[in-house]
Amino acid sequence: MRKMVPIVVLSILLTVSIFIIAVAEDEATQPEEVSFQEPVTIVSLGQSPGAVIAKVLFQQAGIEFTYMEAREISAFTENLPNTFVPVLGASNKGLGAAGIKIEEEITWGKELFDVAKENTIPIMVMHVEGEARRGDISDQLINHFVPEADFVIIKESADKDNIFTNLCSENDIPLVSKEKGLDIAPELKELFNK
Amino acid sequence: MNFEAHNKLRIFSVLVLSLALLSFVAFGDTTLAKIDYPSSTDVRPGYGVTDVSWLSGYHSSLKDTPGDTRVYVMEGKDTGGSALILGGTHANEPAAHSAAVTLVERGIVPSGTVYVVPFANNSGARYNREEEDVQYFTLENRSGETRKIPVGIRYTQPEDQEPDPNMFIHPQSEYFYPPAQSRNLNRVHPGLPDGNLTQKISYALFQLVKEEEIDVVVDMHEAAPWSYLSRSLICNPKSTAIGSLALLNIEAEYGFSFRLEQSQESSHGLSHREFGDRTSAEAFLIETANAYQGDTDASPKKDLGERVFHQLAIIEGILNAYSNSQSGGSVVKLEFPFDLSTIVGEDGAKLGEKLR
Ligand SMILES: [Zn+2]
Repeated sequence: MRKMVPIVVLSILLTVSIFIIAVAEDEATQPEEVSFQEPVTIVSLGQSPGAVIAKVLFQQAGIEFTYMEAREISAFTENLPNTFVPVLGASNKGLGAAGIKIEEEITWGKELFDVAKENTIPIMVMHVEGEARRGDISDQLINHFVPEADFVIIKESADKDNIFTNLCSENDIPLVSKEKGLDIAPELKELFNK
Repeated sequence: MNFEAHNKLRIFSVLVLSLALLSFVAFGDTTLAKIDYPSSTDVRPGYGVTDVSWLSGYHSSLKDTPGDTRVYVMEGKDTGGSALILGGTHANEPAAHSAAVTLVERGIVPSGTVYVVPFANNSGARYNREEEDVQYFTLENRSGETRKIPVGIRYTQPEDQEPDPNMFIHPQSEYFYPPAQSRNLNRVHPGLPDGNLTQKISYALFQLVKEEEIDVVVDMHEAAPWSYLSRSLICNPKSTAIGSLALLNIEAEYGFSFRLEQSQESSHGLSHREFGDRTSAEAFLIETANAYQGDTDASPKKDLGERVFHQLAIIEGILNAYSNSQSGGSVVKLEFPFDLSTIVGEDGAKLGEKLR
């Protein structure tokens, strides 16, 4: 009987430690514990169609959102959301490239971020077009706005050079990265407790 | 017939013959001569095709011109919405017309109606004036027969239309294009009933869309792999939600990604802009990656199976996304009796096996 005691103690210790490790791992890989509230305002920064894709994903997730096309800050302040979703992406060449002035995009984005922060509205930055929407102009937006985010969701192929991984770990921002765009919808569902 | 009449006929025949000879000598290579009829291509309609008509049925002045072309109608058992699928707008982009031919030969439409025009600019498909040794490529079907797929040119053949103007002014927008664009079907939309041949083709396509109350227009194209257009789906602004849902579903189901793009204000005369703006149809343009367009030393058959797979999967995806967006009965369903990804294979060999 005496011989049994150390074994029992050992197994208890083992079970407890496994449990602790499991919980710790769970916390490390489960940024979903953060939760966000509806309604959402989606804004495009860089004017790529990524914001349209985000719209479809929010629709699929059944989350209430407004897609803000107007480029006046009043359109935002007069109808403050509970979550702000700027979708990053710009064309470097070709379709849509001509109309973009990157400085204007950054100034506009800053204005929106400032209002969101003043009103403690969580900011969920998205980049949903993968590697097809990387390049100088998109990267300027990424470098500028990802460090200001509270949460970042991307399509994995956009992070081949770890630009998102690095910016998020340097700034302690949870990052969710999905291989396929459509897999972002169930992720949103969880984040919004739908 | 009396003797005098007989004699007159003989004289007439001799005259006709010498005229024919003369014209042959004058034009040398007969393929370069202007023709007054549409050329035909080997297309073997399958079970899905319920009617075959002519584009001139929508605009009679196209009849007996090299701009007339076949329209394949695939009407489903169940009524529903309708789609127009265009291949060969640019005849040097062969995955587009190869995909259209595959659709006509093997596609099944359970509900709604699909209209397919495999050679939208039939004049451009008539021959390849730019590269004599690339007139067509061949695929072998399952019975070992050789199927010829034409590789034409981007434009209407110059001899099929009046000489190019010094500057082509797109009449609806008054936008200026370089001269040859007056022969580019994807710059002249919505066309003109009494314009040049290319504008008449466009006008006829618009008449088709209006008369048949088409809900979805998909215009298939290809671009050089390095082009910013390569592997993209360009949507009219009103059609971006359907386009993005299509691409998201395709990525999830088939594992390939295309970029979503949107027509610009300046896309005057392009199909995704004009069909979407001027008709009630949702309008899309697909661009697959074609090595031959970036490098004429490359074979137009390079990755053909994959390119056609991309075209057809995206069409299927668009029609599904469109149908799901309709609360009423506007469903258009397109099916194939095989998994689309099975046509991927070296140089289109697997695609050939699917043709009739
Ligand atoms: Zn083209």
